[in-house]
Amino acid sequence: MPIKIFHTADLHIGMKFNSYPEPVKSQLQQARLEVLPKMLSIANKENCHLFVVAGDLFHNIKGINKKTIVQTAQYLEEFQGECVLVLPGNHDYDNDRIDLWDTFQKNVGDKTIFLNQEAPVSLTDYGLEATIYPAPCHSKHSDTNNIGWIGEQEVDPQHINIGIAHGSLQGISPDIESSYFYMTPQELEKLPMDLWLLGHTHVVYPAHEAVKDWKVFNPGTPEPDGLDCRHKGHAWLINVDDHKRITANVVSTGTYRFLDENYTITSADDLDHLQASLLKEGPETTIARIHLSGRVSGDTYSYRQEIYQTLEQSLAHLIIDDFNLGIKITPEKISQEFTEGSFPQQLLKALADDEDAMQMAYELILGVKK
Amino acid sequence: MIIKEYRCGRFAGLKDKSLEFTDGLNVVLGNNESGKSTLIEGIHAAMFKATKQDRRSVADKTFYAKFMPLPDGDSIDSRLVLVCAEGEYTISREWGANPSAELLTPKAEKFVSEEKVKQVLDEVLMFGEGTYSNIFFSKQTHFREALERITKSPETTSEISTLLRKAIMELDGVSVDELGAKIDEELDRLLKRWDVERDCPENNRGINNPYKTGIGEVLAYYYEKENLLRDMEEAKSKQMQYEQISSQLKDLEEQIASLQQQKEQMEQIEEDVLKRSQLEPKIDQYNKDLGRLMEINQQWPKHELELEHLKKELTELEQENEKLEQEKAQAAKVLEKEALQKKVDKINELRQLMQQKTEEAKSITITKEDISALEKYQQDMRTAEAKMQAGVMIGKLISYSGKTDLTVTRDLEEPEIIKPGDTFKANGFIRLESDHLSLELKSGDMDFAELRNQYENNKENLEALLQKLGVNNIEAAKLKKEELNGIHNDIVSLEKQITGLLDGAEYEELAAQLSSYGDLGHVRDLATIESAMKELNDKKVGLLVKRESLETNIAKWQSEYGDVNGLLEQIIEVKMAKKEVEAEIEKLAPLPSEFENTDMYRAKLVGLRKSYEENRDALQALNREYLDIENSLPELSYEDMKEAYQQAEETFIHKLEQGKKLLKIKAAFEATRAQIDDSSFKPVADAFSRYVVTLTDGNFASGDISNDFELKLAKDDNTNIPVELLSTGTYDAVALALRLAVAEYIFGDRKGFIILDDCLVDLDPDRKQAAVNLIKKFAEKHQVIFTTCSPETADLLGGTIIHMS
Repeated sequence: MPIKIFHTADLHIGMKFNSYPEPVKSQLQQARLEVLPKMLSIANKENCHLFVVAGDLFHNIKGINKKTIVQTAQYLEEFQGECVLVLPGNHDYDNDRIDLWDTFQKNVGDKTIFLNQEAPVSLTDYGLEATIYPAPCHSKHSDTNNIGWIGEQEVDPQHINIGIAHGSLQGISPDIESSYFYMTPQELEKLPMDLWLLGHTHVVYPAHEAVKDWKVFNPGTPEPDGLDCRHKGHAWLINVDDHKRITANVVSTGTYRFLDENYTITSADDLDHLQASLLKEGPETTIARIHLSGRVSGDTYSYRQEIYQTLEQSLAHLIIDDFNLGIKITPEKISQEFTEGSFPQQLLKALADDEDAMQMAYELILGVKK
Repeated sequence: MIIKEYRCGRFAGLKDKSLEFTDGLNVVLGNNESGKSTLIEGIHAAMFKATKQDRRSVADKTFYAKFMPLPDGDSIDSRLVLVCAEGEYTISREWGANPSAELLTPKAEKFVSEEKVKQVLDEVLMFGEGTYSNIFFSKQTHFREALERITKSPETTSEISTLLRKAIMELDGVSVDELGAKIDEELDRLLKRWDVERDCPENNRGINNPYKTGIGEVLAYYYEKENLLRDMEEAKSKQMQYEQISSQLKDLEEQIASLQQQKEQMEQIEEDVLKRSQLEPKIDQYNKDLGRLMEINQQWPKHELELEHLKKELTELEQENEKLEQEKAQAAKVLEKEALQKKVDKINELRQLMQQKTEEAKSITITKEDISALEKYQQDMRTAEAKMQAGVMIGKLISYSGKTDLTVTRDLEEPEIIKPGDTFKANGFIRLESDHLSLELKSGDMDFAELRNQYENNKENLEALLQKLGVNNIEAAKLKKEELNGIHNDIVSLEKQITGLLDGAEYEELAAQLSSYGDLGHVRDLATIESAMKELNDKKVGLLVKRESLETNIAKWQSEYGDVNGLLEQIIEVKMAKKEVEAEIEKLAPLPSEFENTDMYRAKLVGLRKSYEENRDALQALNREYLDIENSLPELSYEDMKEAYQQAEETFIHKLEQGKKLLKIKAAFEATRAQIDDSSFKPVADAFSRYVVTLTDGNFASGDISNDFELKLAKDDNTNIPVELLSTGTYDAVALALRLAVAEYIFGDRKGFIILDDCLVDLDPDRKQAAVNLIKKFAEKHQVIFTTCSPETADLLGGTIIHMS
């Protein structure tokens, strides 16, 4: 029997975004929760059998208010397929003492299976010929992964055997100290699973919009969560047919986007282009950090404030780093503004070997000029 | 370089204007709002204003707003002809809808590219726009304000040199002092409490001991990032602790489960083990009893037989002992006889010796009184001798001419013959005698003859007694007396020894006793006999002990069992009881093989229970610890704070860089100030001085400028003008002199132009005339374009009058 799976992970519901001001802070917090009904809607529309959250549904094991946990559980109940599978990740791990999961389990229905044990779970009772082999996280850090136990299991070849794990994956995750349940593709291949649904790394894997006959999937986060997140938020729609052949395609799920870009400004035109590029696509849901550098005329330097103002009014949030943008102080400019032999002229000449110092001195001079 | 001509089609309010200027003084006369200022702006724009408009430029927006014709009009223009040594340069510019720029050079070169026009013009104009704007085109009020600022500054002294220096340095409206203060302020704002050299907080006041107030931004961001780092580390550490405790909890729970399982398994057969522990000792006891009974059964008859033999042996030993006793008595008698014989022999010996001593004592006749007399005689002799020897006299015979010998008697000595040259000495008495001389000399008041007589008598008595006693001297007499005493003592001692030996008996009694022993025959010595007796006794004691032991055992067995049959019955009874207990033990659960006995089993179970309880207590404690640490987990994790930390670090680095740049600026500022301070302002001072001379109508001689540039009144060399006491009119005049001096300084040898906007308005007639003279003087070398609305001023100035209609 073919199975259609909606695969997501790393929602990080409860993430704080403390470095952002209101109202964008609250908006981003809310977005983490609101992406769930969005995905469930897609999953329902696609008639998925399984809705899988491969870890880090929540951002933390504590500090998530009860209302949010209950809301999350209630959203999951809206899934119209056979089964919802939730695996504890390294942020929302379970060590049998976590109140978070107590509250969660009290508020979910029978359709939701909490995969917190290293033991196979057959989905026969849910009408699916599939067995799940979970590798849950019981701590935040671990220098070993939890998939080893699967190798000792006798798998039913008639079932679709699905491994669900949460941890860093060789080749896509920056885990220099191997602290996050590190796995390699070779390890995953060796185990007798038909399909691997992973979580932890916030980028999609494989890096294709659609794939065939692929075995290992990581959806990345469905809602971009910071300036280091360059994508729009994804999930995987995976089809496993009767012959266990797999096809999958990426679905976009995110509402907000984060941009963190460098711009070299040489003229007012560059500023105009910058503005245009930032306002092109859904500025109201764009959080941008712009790093401006370069030396420009005084007029252009002043003009940047107009650009900033426009951007701040249009974008959800703007962070400006223009420390490296300054006025081009040329001998021509100095002679244009200051009298030959005057103190400012002499001072600026003395600093000619250091553009930044000259820039600063120029601004100081302007600050006291009558 | 001077201005020859200005034209425009339209520039603000100016329409189709064409004006020509001459070298020297030009006066632009026109009413207010006639466009004089606009004309000047037009000239300036022609020289410097780029034609390409950038709607984003504030300066451009201002320019177009100011000069674009109202209400409609999308274009303005200016055309300027400049004359310099090479010839004429014509600059034409149009701003607005069709911006354009054109420059014609004396070589008939034509440039229409804005950049090229600017490039060529920059070379022609010699100075930058700033210089033109701030000096040559500047409004006079600007100079006056600058002068006021300088003179009112608290650091300005009364010295004109300082004023000039400041004026030149601050021509752009930038107060050097204010700039310095601003730099310091910025340095303080950024670097306060930051040790730049050591790249750390001053006095090592890190986050563990931070400054609470009065810190710069660098230190503030340093604290922020370090605090974040510390929070991050703490969060990481707490997380690790939490995970560790969770893991420990898990291990502990597993351990407890395992202990519980083992405990329960063992408790299942605990009762049987207990019963076994009670029954098995019984079996042991029965075995012991059986062993004991069997042993008795074997030993009882042996004991009785042995007892018989013992009794016989003891009888024999008694008999032998009697014989030895008799022999011992005989040996004792022999010893007695020997001892008595010895005593009697000793007494006889002592008696003989005593006899000898008595004979010796009789041969010595010297008494204590004899000794005393001898001593007295001797003492008297010594006394007399001492008295005679009390006075020492020394004499020498120098010459003697007598016919007989001269004799000398000294003290108690006999007379002696002396010859001349002989010396003689005496202790108390000297007598010299010859046939015709008799001299007696005495020392002191003594009767030497009497003394000598006493001495001689004692000496005779002494010698007589010694002779009688048969000794040579007193010492010998004493020795002899001691010998006699010794003999007497020996006799007494011998008597005591004899008495001791007799011991209360008489000598005859002892002799009689000795005879009574008779001949005692040959007997073994006592020691040998006693040794034999001891050996016999030891053997007897051993046999007696053995006998007692046998008798005791037999008695005990009889008392317990009656007889051997009774013993056998007892054995059967114990065997049966043992069998019963063994049957009971068979029914119990077997003891696991790893336990040798029930005690080991029970010990293990107790140990398990204890371990189980301890682990449960430990689990409780660990659970509490877990809850504590769970509650103390920070809201933000290490990873959450990382971005904020990176941001804070970047900001800190940036601020620090800014601070360092500012230090560089400060250094450059100080160096520039020092350099400018050291620069020679003499040309300016000279020019200024000349203009001031003109202004003050010769009151200040041009030679009266000291090396410090102090102005002195011509009439009183020692009086200085305090600058702050200058009147308003003088301020304006001095400002004009200053401006012209600066302009002249900047022009140097070159010809240039300056535009003055009616700077004579506030001057009284005298000052005005002086100022006019000044301007005329300046115009002799350079072009002056003077704008005014006053015809009188225009007349006063003269020169080329240009009317603005």
